[in-house]
Amino acid sequence: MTEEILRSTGLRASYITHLFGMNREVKVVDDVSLSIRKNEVFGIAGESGCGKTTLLKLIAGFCRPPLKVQSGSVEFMGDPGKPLSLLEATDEELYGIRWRQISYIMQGSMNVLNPVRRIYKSFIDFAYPHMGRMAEKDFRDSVTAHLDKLRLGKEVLDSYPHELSGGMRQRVTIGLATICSPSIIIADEPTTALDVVVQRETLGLMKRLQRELGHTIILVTHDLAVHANMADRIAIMYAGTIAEEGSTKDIFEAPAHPYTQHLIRSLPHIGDKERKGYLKGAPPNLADPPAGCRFHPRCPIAIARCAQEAPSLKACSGGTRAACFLAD
Amino acid sequence: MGDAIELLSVKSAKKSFRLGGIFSGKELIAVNEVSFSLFKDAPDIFSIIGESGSGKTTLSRMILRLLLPDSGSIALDQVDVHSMKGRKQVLEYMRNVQPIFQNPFETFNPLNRVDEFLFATAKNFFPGETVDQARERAERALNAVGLALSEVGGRYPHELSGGQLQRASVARAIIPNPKVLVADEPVSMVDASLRMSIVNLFQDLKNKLGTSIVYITHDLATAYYISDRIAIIHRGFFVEQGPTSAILTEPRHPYTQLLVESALDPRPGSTSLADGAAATTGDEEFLAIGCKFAGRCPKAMVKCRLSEPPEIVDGDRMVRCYLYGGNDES
Repeated sequence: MTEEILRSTGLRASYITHLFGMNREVKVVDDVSLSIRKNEVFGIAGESGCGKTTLLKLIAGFCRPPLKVQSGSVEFMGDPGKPLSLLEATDEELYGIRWRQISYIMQGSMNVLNPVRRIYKSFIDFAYPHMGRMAEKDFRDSVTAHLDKLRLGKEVLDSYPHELSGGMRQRVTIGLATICSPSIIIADEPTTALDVVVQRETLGLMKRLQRELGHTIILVTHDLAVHANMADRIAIMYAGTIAEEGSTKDIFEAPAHPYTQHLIRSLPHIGDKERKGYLKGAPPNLADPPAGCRFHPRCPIAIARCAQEAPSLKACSGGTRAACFLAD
Repeated sequence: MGDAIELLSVKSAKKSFRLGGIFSGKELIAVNEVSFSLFKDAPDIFSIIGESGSGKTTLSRMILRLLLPDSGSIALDQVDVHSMKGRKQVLEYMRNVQPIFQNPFETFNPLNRVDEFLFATAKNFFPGETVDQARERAERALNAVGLALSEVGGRYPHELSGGQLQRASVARAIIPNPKVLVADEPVSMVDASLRMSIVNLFQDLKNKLGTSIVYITHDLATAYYISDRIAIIHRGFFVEQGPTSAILTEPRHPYTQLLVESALDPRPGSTSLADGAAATTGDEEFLAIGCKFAGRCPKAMVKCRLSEPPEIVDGDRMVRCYLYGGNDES
């Protein structure tokens, strides 16, 4: 259970642009080390523009200019004893693991599915080239069997995306991502566009498939309520850095970082009318992040040291690991 | 509240659209027999909860007089929107009912500075005032939402955070001193750490300026947090309406029960993630005869599929379901 499947160490990456002779560097991912285990749901939480999606791109080995990796590595342990460095792999190596080993569920299902092709054609486009030398007839049978697991009927295969409801379309994209039984599924805001009722059903489906097929899910969403009910472990990102990580239970019950504490405290839930506080200021501009700890301008308990050096993750008594000098 | 004076009253408002071609099309009733009132001297936050495609945006557009109801009435201070004639009356309505939109980045023109937009609003609603007076109005509105003119003055929308922009758009809305604000999903595009600041702001506007707010959302938790009264809208019908805490802690309508059950609780493992069947498409439910929820309802009876259930009023609560008010067959 605790075997590692993906590890990033000291990952730093920036978007570098040259415009009219001006060099601009946006440090989006700064010193991120993660260790993701086999068969777990690993949640990454953070606000918009904090580098979640860029981190996912790097984890998927998709690094194109203007995104540039400065240091650090991402290793994928798909083959026991033979880790593959995703940032140095050749295109052929990456093609070999894409979709077969690492696949994605994206946010807008309408944008993922080609609107002028029937659903089955999308399966052919996405997954068939990765199925090895399978006859197309067998492929159709396996797709039908797979959709049955997702509680979608055969008729879905011959429908166009616009004929399906949002929930059904998201089921189809989950089907696309799981058909090759990959070992890692990256889900970027998979339920943000869905209604509450459909959201719960979709999350339930993802959890059930994960238990049946035994893959790892890297779940990225800003919605902590989703993490609370889905993830085994969570990393909280703030302005390109990991502020805190730990098991879901510890993060929610004993958060050590002031940012996490604030996030957890300000979550409203039914049956609670107590007035919630909020943080002053706004997340920093990553082209010009504050020196030291990136959270210190907004932090209610910041000390002088916070403005000078950046804290690194350390173990805290609550069971989590937090990047804060004052956490214990 | 029967003897209180009505400020905004919506009575059996109905709006329908046509689906499909001229000859083969079907009629889709987006808002059906919706009634509610806001009262003078008792400012209120009234939440309307609905999923996408429930008709909540059509309803908000009708309250803003961007659409006129096909039947029924919407009246502000006893003046019906249908009877309004001329620019003067319409402007008076717009002055009193102001919108706040979902995405603050789309509310503001990206090529104009944010403060220009505030000045323009002040000039449009108070023609004949000097530039200084318009400036003063903008300044006062910004102060009320916790911003200063020096903070947003001369800056373009992309230079401000989502939270600041949403505050600025609230500031713009309160410049003409409206009696009612209509906020359609105002926090769904705002970052998590700033979301509560907007929600708290609505509460402050209600308490300090006495503005009534129609808060339209799909998020039950923030609705519970700020609103006094709530209505659940499903496929055009208000299926349940009443005091927020009572409705969300003891929901009566099966649809409200499903919503409350599905809202994810932000405490680890507290919501069971049932993997139900995929929902039907919206149009099918809209076109259903009888109760629109009958197709998914665990307690559906034969008569639910034949005719629309009536509104059953019990004290300050209303529910539109055959299970209540002695209509239960079993």
